[in-house]
Amino acid sequence: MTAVGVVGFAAATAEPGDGRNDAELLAPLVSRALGDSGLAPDQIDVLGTAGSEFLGGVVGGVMGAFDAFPGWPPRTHSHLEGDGAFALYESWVRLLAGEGRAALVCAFSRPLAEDRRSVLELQHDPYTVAPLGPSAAALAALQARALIDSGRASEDDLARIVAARRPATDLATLAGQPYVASPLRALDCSTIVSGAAAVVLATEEWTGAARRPPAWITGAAHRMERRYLGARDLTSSPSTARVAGDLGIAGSDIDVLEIHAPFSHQELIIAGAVGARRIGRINPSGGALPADPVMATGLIRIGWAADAVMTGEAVRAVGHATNGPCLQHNLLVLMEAGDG
Amino acid sequence: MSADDSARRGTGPGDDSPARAPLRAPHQLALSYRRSLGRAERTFLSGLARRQIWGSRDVDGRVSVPPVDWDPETGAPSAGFVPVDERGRVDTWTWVPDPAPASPLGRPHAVALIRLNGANTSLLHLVDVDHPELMSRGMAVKADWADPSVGGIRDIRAFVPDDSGSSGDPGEATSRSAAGPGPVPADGHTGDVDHVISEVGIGYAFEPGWTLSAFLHSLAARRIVGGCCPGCAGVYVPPRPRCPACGGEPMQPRDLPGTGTVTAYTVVHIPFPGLTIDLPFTWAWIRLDGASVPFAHLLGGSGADPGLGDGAGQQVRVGLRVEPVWVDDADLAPTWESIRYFRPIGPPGAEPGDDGSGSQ
Repeated sequence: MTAVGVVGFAAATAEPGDGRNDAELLAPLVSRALGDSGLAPDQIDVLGTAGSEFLGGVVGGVMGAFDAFPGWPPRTHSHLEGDGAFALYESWVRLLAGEGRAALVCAFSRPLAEDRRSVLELQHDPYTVAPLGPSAAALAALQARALIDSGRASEDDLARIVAARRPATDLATLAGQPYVASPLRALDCSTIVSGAAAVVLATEEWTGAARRPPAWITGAAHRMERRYLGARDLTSSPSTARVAGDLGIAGSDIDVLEIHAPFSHQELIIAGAVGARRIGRINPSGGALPADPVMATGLIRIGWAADAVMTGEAVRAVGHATNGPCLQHNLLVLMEAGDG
Repeated sequence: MSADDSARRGTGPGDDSPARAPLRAPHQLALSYRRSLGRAERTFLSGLARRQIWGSRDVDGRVSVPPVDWDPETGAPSAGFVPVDERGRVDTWTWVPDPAPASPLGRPHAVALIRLNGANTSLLHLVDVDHPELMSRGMAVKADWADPSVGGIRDIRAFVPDDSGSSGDPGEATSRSAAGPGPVPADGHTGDVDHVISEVGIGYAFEPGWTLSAFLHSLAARRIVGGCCPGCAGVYVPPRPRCPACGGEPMQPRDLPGTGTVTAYTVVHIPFPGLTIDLPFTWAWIRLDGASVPFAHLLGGSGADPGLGDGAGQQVRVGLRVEPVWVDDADLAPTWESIRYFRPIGPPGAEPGDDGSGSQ
């Protein structure tokens, strides 16, 4: 089977309301990622894009983002309503299946709703959950309290995550802030922003022009848990643990782990479920907490994990992405330096 | 990471443009669905209408509430439906100090996962108490029923503290039938609730982006400013942030005369939600002289103001030469509607290819 590596990555976030549309956010990132890869636009056989029309609220609005990349020559294009990390997974599978030799994966996010996080409530079960009106933060808080009640973490542990991910935040200030949904405070919940990311994947015969050595994808898999929150063990992430076992990550040494945790306590749950023997650094990029462009955040985590391998900072790195309430659906991508 | 500024280069009209500020407009998304129910949801919601709480039992005897038709892990069909108690204990909870306007209780409350007596999973619901200090893991609660009950999860108004001392007997599964015609048979098929209405409403501040904002501003100045690719010379109306054909950038602003040619059309006779003009009207693809691609706009007016004779497309044909009819100066605004519609020009009967615009 051919080897596939990440050969280009660029990401940016912005305050919603800076006026750019999806294509304007994405276009310069596509140029940078392609520049890293050394590939020309017409060498891209597979295009994988992801976002959500509910973020901007205009039906068909995401179509404009496709202007960020030339539409000629015709190529395989698959658009996903979801996080771009899952589009990366699909594009990786397409390359392994021989559908092409290079893929461009893009995600873009402009959360223009007046209540930015409210869009996530559209994920809730429409029969038994949505009519009760719980916010996404309230559901995450049920998980956070269950974790604390289990004795595996404390509110102080959550505060330490916040202080680590949000520069210039000190523990004493945090403890004095009110709960938005106890035990979660506002700073425990990610700051939702605009953003976009572009990742270029190439099969081994097309990695020669890349500016940096590739981050070879040596394993990727995702699993989803039950729909009903009350039927899940919220204090662990069985789907992540299963993937980490299948990919040989559990019990091994990894240099960088990038975790997609929109809420502080979820970083603890995922780090535990990954089960590595040694983790060099967690979220050197800063993680999802300080800047969360919903639907691009997971792809950005995987991009930074790849970046750590491409720069030589890591030999073995793992990117995590999630979707759905309380870490319902989890993806791990293992990337390694080497000869492919 | 920081915002990358390079997208700004080369977008929008030239320095003589009337305004460059990105536009923003309020936008309301409303979606209403009538969702049909599967057997498990029908059994559950029909039970609630009778003030009963039903779960499903899997082959190992474990009871899920809400019920499921198939085991999510094994795929095995459920072994049947069983009633569970309306009392139970709080598994985990959070306090919502500032509920959304649409929240059912309209005041601060708890959200909790509640393990009902007789169930092996927990039900998500609200707990109506005055202070978070009254909440704790393991506290006993019971359903407080809404009146009337209609067959929805909100038939349980909320859970409230239960002081009766009968909560927390795992395995006890007595169905309380305080009202209604009696228990549902275990096959659950007599459920008479067959749908739920789900309403989604989200308010937005929509932004079309820098490139499109500049174009709309040009319309407010009675100009049509497209974008020209420096690589392949393609001209786009409306302009794009980069060339969608070859990826060339920066796109250069290009003033277009406004005259153009119909490349396709349709005559609309039937109303649709959101229609703001009179029927019938003609909707046409129009390629402006000097442009590479067409856009869609009104051809002739509509209804009593047809602008095209009978307004029913009598004179319309592919190849028709047209020009814009602008609104009065006082009504000019950064919107497509600054052009009321396009109208025919030139000698009647002119043929396609007579327009002198060449073939692009």
